[in-house]
Amino acid sequence: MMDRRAFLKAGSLGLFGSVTWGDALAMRAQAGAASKKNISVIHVLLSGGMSHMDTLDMKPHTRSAFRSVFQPIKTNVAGIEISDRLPLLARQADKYTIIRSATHKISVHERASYLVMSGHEPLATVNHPSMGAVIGKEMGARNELPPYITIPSMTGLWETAGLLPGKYAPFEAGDPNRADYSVRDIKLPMDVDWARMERRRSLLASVDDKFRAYDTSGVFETASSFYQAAYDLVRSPAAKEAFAIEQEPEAMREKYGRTSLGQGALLARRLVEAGVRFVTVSNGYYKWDHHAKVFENLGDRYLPELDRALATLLEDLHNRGLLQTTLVIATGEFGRTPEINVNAGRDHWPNVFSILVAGAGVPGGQIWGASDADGMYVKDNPVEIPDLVTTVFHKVGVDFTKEYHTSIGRPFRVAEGKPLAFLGA
Amino acid sequence: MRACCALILAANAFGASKHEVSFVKDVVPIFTKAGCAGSNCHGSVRGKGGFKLSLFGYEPELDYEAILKQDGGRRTDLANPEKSLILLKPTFGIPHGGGERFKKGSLEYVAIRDWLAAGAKFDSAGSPRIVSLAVSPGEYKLTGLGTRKQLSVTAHYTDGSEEDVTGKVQFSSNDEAVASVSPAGVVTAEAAGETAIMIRTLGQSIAARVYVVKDPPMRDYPSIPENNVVDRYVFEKLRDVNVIPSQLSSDEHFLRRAYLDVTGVLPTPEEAEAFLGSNDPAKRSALIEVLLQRPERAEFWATYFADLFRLGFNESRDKGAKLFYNWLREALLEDRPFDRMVRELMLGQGNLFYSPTANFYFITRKLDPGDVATHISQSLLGVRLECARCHNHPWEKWTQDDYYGFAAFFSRLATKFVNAGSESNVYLRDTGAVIHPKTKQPVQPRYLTGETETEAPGEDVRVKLAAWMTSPENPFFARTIVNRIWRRYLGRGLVEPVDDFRVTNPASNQKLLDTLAEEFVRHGFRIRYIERLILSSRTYQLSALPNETNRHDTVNHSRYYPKRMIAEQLLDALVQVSGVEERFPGWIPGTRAMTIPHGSPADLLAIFGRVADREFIRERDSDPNITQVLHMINGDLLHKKLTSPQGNLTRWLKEFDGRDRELIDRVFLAALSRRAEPDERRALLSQLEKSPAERGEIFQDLTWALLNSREFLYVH
Repeated sequence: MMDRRAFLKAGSLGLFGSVTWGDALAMRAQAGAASKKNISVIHVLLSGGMSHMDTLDMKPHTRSAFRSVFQPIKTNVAGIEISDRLPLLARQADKYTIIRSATHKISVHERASYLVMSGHEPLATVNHPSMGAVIGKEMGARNELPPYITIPSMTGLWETAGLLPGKYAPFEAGDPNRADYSVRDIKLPMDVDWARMERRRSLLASVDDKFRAYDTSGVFETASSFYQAAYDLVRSPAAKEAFAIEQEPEAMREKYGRTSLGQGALLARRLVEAGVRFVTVSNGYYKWDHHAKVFENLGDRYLPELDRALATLLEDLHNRGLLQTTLVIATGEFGRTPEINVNAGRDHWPNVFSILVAGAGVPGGQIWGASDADGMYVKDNPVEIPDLVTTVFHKVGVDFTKEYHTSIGRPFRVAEGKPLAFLGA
Repeated sequence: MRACCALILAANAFGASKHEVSFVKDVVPIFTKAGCAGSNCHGSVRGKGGFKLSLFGYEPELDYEAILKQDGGRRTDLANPEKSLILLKPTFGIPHGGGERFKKGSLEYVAIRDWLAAGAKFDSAGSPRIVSLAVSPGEYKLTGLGTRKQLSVTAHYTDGSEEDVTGKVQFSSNDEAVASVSPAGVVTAEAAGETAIMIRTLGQSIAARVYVVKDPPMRDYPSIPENNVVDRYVFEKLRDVNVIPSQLSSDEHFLRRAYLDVTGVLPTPEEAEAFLGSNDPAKRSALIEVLLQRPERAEFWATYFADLFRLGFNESRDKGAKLFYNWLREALLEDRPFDRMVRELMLGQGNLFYSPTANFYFITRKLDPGDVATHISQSLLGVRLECARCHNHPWEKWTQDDYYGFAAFFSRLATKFVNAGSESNVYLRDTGAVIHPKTKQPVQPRYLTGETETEAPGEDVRVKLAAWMTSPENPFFARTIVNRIWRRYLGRGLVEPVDDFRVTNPASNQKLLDTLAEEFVRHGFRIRYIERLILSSRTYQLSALPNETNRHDTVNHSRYYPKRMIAEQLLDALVQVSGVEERFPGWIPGTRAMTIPHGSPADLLAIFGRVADREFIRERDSDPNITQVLHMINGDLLHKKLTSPQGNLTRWLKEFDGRDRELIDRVFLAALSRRAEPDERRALLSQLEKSPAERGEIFQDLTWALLNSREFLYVH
């Protein structure tokens, strides 16, 4: 909690080198955040399920049938160690909390992803909306950009609006790592200029005007509002600007990594800066589902990619003063079996796994909870997914006790857990 | 004097005066009536403020526990009843989040107080319990706004007795804007329309259907020609509610609508010209016959059933899904009797790559009898059993006994899944049991009508279930499928949603629903017969354009309700209009989107809602969204189709060189199945005259506009 005077003081301190520019910006952002909740969320979705024992919860002393080939390394916070394949992230440990005691009971992808994205176990009678859809509905868009965006595209039905109207579904941004990246459909086709677009619109308007008499339910009008929103988006300089990842300095693009995940994280930062409320970044559907050759997969590709993307994201958000208003969550739908299988892989394991959380008041340099000696089950302070999702809503400012009703009137609460105090809730 | 009478009546209502107060019959209903046991209050799953009642009083035993025993019995003070929280809170004697629910000294108050004073006993074992409710009148027309009608409710008990419980039950209106209802059961007409009044107590519920019409019957109500039995019941209802149906649709609209509804494809410009140019007075019925025989009809239906049977996420992937899709297509093509078709589905087993109907059961590799039961009851019987997996249905008769009993028909069914490969099977194990979560005992198979079944050794009990389901006497089966057919053509089910038949969700036209079901059974369970009946009716052929009397009708089919094309229809239509095909990887050139059994091989299909859900049966999302709009106005797909040198437009520009008037009509016919109207034609011709060099672009822009228009995107 910092008032304007305290901020100015901090700013002047910065001149003498004891507070970095990033810190000062962070404080300013925080000063703003204290009065009105203005939190955005970036969910780095490790679809398929990341192995906790090779990443954030190393067990160097477990039996050999379980043990990772990776080694633990020290981080910039005394007493916290993570995998040696995450060296950049190790230097940012003062910015995040690692939950080592996340747990649930679902060991199939679809249902577990549904739980993680919505905070609810799948129930045949309720089609729960995902977090981003609820936030989009309850908080609204900040400007002409959609409030909920997923990069590159939905990994599955768990990223939809559920029973909410389709307009709350995420906008798919496409893969910003493609050389010729542009958001699908946001630019006019090559040989169509605005003059022709106007002619098309006026032709369309004349056909639609005639037909309007057939509409009594307002559904055409709703569609028209989407047309308007779509034109606004296509014409909006702010939207084009936000998606124009090519405007980033080359060095910054390299730093995030020239991968889908890396460029996705960079785009996520641009979108949050531009006012988007909830961004999901993944490197695709079930990409972390390493049933075979888990060490090659993680060591050669997945962890270096994640390391650069996530560590740079945290650093970049911090330097821009955005980390105080941006909640970053990195998790898949579950962890992976401590025991290494015959294909040198690890299988699905929801009983205990790790989640990284940072920003928006989440304490840095914190380990929360613990798994047992073999990484099999929770030893201390179990963390349930509904509580995590409730915490997200709480931080963003969504009334999580609100009830929605299904078409037959069955009520359900937006989130069914309690905010987690250790995350600064 | 009058007040006095009311007092006596009401006093009887809660049993306060004439006999000992019963907890079950007198006290529990108070909490439902006063709103305490509702789903947003103490009746919610978590209760409220630490106090939880069963939803609408369906488990009095739990309520007794909560009131008397939980939290150290702090809610009652038997020595000093008036000091009990259970009285102080609802009368707002002390702060209460729910506010005042009844007054101190009210009949509710007196009943609870007297019950407490008499020792707060639970009813003795074997004392009568409620079995059903009846409401009179069950259906009523209120003429004139502000008109009132008292409903009266009777409860029937296990000992055969009955009681007037009008004063004890909770009344609520499904649509307060149409008709409101007082706590005493007086219905008031608020606006023209129709709704249901729900009546609840002790876990029982019932509904009364109410129509509100503003004026007395019109004296000058026009005479509307009836084509068949469909029209008889639709128009009877419309006359009853003072609504005049729209005019008969134009030939252009009928043509486009019938093509899209029956076959899923647009008429070609040539087909359109032939139909519109014909003077045959019977050309509509002739067209219906032609369309009903087209193979595209079977493909459209197969896609419908593929959605319904969750084929989109069938884990057997391509091969099994294709096999099953083709089986569905063939069955529809030959118009196989639906009872036979379902019996074949119900007995499905064997290898997924060789036995088509095995795929009916193969949704996920781990087969759960409860999931199968839910799926079958919901898709084919219109009964949502799922609630009863975890708790007795709060306002319907379905209990956990029904759920697990129905699941027990599938207790031996299992799957073997080998890497989505040719070894995957659905088979019957030698033994198997479904265990009731409360009794922990194996459950006997039990029909939804309550009778139980036994499975002899070596027998496949699904045979008996299939026979029960498809019997002409089954109360659910025929109604469910005819209602689904009706909805496909007319945009709204007679019961809506189509998979939710229940007492509290009455049909908009019960006589019509019953008649369609009877006709269906009488004509050998043939889907095509019902389609013909619907298509030939004047009801189906009405214009979508509303008149002054039917503008607000959304349930009685006084006009055709426009509906958006589904994703496959839309993509196939874009291909047909543009003449530029869409290539789907793994499929031969010329494949139509409609015939691809699952997956989303094209952006457009995914964007326009081609999702089927593995876990749930779900309606496709027909809400528009911004991604769809962007894709249509700005996307690659349409742009490429409009500018392709191989496309229709490029060809027509040459073919109709110097004949722009005809070319305009050609484009309109291709996209909208009508010719341009004079003002549309005039505007285009003047543009063409002004900028002759832009002829190609102008026609591209015209096609673009037509393909983005509501008139194109909606079946109307």
